[in-house]
Amino acid sequence: MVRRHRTLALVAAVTLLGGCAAEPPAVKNNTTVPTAATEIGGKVTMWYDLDSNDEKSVKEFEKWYIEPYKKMYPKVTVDAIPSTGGTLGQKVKTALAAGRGPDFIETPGSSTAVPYADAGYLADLGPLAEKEGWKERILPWAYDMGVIDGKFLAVPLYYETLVLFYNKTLFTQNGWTPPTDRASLEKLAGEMQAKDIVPFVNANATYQGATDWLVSSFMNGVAGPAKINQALTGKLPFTDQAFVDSIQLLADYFGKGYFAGGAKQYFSLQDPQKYAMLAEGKAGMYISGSWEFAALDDYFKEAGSEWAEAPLPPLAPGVPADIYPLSVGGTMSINASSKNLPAAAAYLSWMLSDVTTMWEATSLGLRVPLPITFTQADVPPGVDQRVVDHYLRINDASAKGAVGYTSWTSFGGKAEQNILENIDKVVNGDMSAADFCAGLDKAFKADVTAGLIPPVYSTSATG
Amino acid sequence: MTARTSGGVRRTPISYFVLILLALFAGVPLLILVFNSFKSNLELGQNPLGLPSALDFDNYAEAWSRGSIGRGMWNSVVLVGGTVIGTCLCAGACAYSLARLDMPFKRGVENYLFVVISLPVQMFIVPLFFLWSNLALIDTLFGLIIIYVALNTPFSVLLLRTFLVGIPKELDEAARIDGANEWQIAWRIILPLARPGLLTVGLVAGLGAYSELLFAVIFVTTPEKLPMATALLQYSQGHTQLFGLVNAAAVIMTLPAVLLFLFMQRKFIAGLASGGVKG
Repeated sequence: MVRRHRTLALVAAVTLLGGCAAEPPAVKNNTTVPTAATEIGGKVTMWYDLDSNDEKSVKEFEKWYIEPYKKMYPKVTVDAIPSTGGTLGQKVKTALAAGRGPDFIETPGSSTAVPYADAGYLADLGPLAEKEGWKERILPWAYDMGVIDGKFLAVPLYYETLVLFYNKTLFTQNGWTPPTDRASLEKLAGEMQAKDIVPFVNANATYQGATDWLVSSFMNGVAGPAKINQALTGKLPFTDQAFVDSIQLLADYFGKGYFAGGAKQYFSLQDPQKYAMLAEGKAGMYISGSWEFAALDDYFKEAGSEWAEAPLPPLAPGVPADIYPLSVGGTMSINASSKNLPAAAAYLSWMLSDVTTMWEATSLGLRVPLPITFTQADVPPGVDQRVVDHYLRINDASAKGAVGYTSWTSFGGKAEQNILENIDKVVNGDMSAADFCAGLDKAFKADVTAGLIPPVYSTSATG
Repeated sequence: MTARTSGGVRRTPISYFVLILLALFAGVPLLILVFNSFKSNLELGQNPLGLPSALDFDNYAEAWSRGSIGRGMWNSVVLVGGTVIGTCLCAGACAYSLARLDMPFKRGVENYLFVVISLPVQMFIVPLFFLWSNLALIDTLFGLIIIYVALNTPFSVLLLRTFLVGIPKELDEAARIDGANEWQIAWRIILPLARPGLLTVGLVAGLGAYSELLFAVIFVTTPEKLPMATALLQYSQGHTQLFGLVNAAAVIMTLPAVLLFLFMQRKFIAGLASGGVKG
């Protein structure tokens, strides 16, 4: 999330600056379908994102993400260079704008892939996708996110959803169950407050964009995915009463002190404090995304308690249950200027087919799984079953089309920026929900005019 | 009767109170950083401001290995050394020309330097990357040193020039009468007198190179060549920061800069004050 937002703001500027140094490369040709493994050779360069570039982490990455590929294609040399701390995007953007860059282009999400596609940096992966049957293998909504201007240009790398994390130990002690609708949520929050327990430990002192998770959760929970889809496809404005009601309910809950105990605490609570509160049972629940697994594990293990997660409850009549607001946390494309398209294409083919290796790497915390179909049998022992269940549920919902939307993946850059700049004013009571939605609508329309709306996938979540 | 220091400030209870307050304002955040560097994640959340429950050095050990701080430290030494030498040479020569020689367009050059200082560096990253790539300077410490020297030189020239202007012209004239050429006047007479100014330039450029991040992460790709400042980018786990390690690494990284400043603060401040330019 942090990386994505940081990156979004700079994409346009750097792309423009690129004109100073070099002409953007034109897409030479479509990616060729890999031929026999022994016929593919040469060198490919890969700049990849890693938590740490110490020797141990780099070796682990190469073990799971390079060696199996090299085993299949022994004549290929992979020049893999790690980047840490969210610097990959900046490095890639600069290199591409200067007419350079690696063979693989990783982005923090579809919103970044769109301007890259417009600049002609991404090779068309359509023929390869068709030959390899990727449309059947990649989850439908995730595949759609990679289709830009009618061409499949970006393979989704990670996927995330928003859920309700809770302290299972605390819930068991008090005989509580996760809320399933607005009434049960408000009843539970009231009971927690009566016991001096903060209902939701959400806070944004460490990462200002964290309020965005709540905006997306409430839009999916109150307006519902169907209305968001209508808004994204231009059939409904964001000034519609359903969106105003979503933001108003969020503001009302802040007024009741549901989040961190009040707006003042919400803006001052740092991440270690909020995780500690949740793990120790001083807070009950936490609305956040799939990226939290590792952090929650650390704090809960130390506190000797257990976490669990449940789907976000619907918060208005007509909104279906078990909806997962989804986002693509990263994409991988092939540089249109790549001098070794066959080897690069072969890598993507290997990556999307070797499910067991993918889960082995997931179990070590190297990366989260790709949005591809899998079964429990594909998962090796040792992987946290809660994580496997989480992704199995998303895959099940994806197959049924019971999917929702997140603003940072599905809205345009200006709309997202508008949310980040104004939602804190709503929380503070300095802006009305109607004014917030009017601003969002204006920003979204500017994105539409600029052609910066990421691909919109469909949803069957109509309630 | 209250005592008076050489600086003219009276030693009154109020001045002590203000000074203690300012010392706390500067020192307490550093103290909290040191405290927190010994805490586990959970303890940091439970007790973000107080003393650690135990002096556990695990965070330091992990921060050192995960951030490859030893390797980064050596790269930083090379970068800082190269930047300081390069900046002192370039800025020294340029400032000497502006301050002591009868050159045309002096005012124009000075104005140009003022404009260059105010330009945001992001403006020329892409063209520079293109150029560095063609010159095979990408992913080299030498390429980064050239950038740092270029970034630091304009301010350093202005600082040194102001310093050199204050040295009496009679010294040059006396040296010329004794048969010294321009190079000898600069190297043997004027620049030695400007040593406090050069020291300040060295400190400003050195600290700048030590903490620079933007160019380091874009122009260096191989992990083995990254400087120590990039170590702080190694302590995340997915989207979450490993705060205990970040605090320990911050203490390790701050230490050399704090020690350097403590040992050389008098010369540093004297250089800035006599240069008449604020950093």
